[in-house]
Amino acid sequence: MGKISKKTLNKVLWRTQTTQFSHNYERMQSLSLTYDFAPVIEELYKDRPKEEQVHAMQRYLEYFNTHPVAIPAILGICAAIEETTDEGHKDSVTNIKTGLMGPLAGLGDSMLNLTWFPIAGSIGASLCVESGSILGPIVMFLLINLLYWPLKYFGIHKGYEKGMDLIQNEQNGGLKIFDRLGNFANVLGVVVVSGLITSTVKLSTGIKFSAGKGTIALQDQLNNIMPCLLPVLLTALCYFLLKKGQGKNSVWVILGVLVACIALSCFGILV
Amino acid sequence: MGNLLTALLLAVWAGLCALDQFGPHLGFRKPLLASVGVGFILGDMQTAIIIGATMELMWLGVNNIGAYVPPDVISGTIVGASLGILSGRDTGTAISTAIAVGVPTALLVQQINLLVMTTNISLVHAADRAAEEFNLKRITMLHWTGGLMFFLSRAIPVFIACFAGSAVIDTILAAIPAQVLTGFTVASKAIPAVGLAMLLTMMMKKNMWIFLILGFVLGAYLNLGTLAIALIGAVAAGIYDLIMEKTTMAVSTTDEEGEYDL
Repeated sequence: MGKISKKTLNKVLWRTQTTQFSHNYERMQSLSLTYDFAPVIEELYKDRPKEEQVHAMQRYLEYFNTHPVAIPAILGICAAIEETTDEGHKDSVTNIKTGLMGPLAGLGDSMLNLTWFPIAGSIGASLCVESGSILGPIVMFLLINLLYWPLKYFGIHKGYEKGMDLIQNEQNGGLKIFDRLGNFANVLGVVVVSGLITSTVKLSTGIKFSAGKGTIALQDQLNNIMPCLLPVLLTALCYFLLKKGQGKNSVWVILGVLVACIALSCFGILV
Repeated sequence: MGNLLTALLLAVWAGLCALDQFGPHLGFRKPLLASVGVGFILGDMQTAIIIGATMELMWLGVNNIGAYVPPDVISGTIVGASLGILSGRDTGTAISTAIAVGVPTALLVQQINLLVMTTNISLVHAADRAAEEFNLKRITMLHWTGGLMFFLSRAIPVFIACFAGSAVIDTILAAIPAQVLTGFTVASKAIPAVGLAMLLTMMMKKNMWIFLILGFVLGAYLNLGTLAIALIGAVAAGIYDLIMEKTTMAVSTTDEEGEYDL
């Protein structure tokens, strides 16, 4: 074990930082993945017959799509398996590569894209939305990168060192750990997003009724029923519209909200 | 001449932010960090960051996941913040201008992104041929060509919008009634609903309504900050995981017992 040098793996790590440059609708990250992994292929296959070299490249040009932050870890594991299998057993590389991409994509999306980015963004923005202080962007940058870089760096190196053990354990326990982590991330994400609705969506009405001598502001009445009532109703409406259009109508929902808000604010219904 | 140079610099910055989105994910694909570059180029960091933070909150839920093709917040932020600052009005007007210009830009460039994602398919076909010759250099070339396409897909629209826009922004602002401009600010605070709803459509699975209520109570009634809510959310997630783990284990043991009965 350990035939592939740390230097080569670091080269792959840098290359993974361009993953998705050649993103496309047919095979998604496949070309990027081939480019990322090329240093390892070059090192392992330099003295091999041409046929094996070609097959090695073709393995990575197959359909592939996962969370970008998971790619170093997956390629670390792939490097370990490429090194320890002979030409007749290369199927296992493809199997593990495609077996990992789904669960890790789900985990990455729910942990990082759905939870961590909104958290980092809202904390950063809250520090500077009034003052314009440079502190906001700095905090946001640190929150993101202090989490992402260790995931990437240890992903590829630990993936390579522990790759085989991990897979063998997986065969006993299955990929269940990803399901559990995925559920965990999902619950966390729902709580955070629900909290963000109350803090970032702001909608209030300016309608006033005259009652006797004074006036009653409708918004005060709404606040008595429930805080954040209008934001919750608007989010629910968007949710059902997006669900109905399977997310493909997002442009129209945004434009709809924009136009409706401008129109209603012109009449003083929204303030 | 100064306008041309500024527009070029903004275009390059937009292209670099796009490469962050398709590359390392350092965070410059998000409005708050993208706005820092605008502040640097135009020499008005404070206004740029205020606009960036407003847009960050507005597009908070916007993220490229699954089947969703998100509005391009990079070009939206850069064009919006630039024209907002270049309009030379007070901060409030700059923000509403930024939103009025930024939202349509983001929606338009989203369509260009679809186009590049489709044209890049030809790269992977060329890569198939390169693989047959074991030509790793050609793979590198094809891969970076894809990067160049994404760079240009943001840089060109931003260049056009900033160069042409800075000349006509005064005329446009003069034509828009003040009420409508205020309306854009009202809308910017409602638009986060769309992004957050987008996130929820992907997360609302079985039992999740419980946690939806939890987050709401923590935010709306207890007024807790995001980090506090996240920490309580982690506790809830941990407890949920333990309960689910127990139930599945109980189910699998009863299954085994069932087999013994047979």
